[in-house]
Amino acid sequence: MSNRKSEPASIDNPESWVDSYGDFLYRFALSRVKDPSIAEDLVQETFLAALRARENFKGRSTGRTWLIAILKHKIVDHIRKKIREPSTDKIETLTDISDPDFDERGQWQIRPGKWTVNPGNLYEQKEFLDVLYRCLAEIPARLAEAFIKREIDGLSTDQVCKELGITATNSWVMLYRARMSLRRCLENRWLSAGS
Amino acid sequence: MHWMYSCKEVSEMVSESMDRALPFYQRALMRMHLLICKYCSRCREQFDTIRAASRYEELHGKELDDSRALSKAGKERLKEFLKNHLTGTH
Repeated sequence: MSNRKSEPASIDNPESWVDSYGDFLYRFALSRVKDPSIAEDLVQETFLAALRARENFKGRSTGRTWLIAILKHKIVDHIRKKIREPSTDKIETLTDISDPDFDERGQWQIRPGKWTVNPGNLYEQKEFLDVLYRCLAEIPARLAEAFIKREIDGLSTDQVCKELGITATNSWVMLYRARMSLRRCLENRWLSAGS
Repeated sequence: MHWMYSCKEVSEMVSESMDRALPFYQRALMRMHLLICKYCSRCREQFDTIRAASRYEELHGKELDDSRALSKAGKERLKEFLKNHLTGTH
């Protein structure tokens, strides 16, 4: 708009975005979706969303971190669309309402397995991240949204509540369900080491 | 409030403790349960791993494959796109 300063990496200057952040966002998108043209589309969608939400930025993080956060939402949306099948809604409702992890006395029914992935060494376990994204796209959208805001965007619980218009208690319940669903999904899809 | 929490309740508290500070007594009882319950401990480890993985890439974005970059044409397309959306009309 009126701000035409040529700061190299400023959110205030969208005309610099492609040169400042384009490659980084593109690489990031490519690490999740393998198709270059989809990665480019996702970068474009990210820029568009960023343009529309620029007033929310307020320097709460670096421009790059902010754009990456938007991109992550776009990636999950993309995967969600890709895997969306008519039958999944039914399954989601079921897993959302019932709690297959516990019996009626609140004891583990399906016991958590020992995960072999080392959180300090995740880069070498890229597949884990792939599955995590896939699982984020599989769990109910509202839970995923709360989870992404809290854990991927790194918002405080208060901010999550404000953005989603929910109470604190509600947010704890949603985040718990999201974590449990992700845990279950990751165990099924990736790390069923068991015992 | 009771002394013995079930695994279900403990798993809920573990999650909640990642989002707010639990009252002291609750935290103490949760920790006691975690000391003796292998499966709840695993659940906590899994929650921690999920959190670490979710936050991971922001911290380590530099490790992405540097050899990949937008094509020249791709950059032009994106610039054109941004320009159009900035001015709104063209």
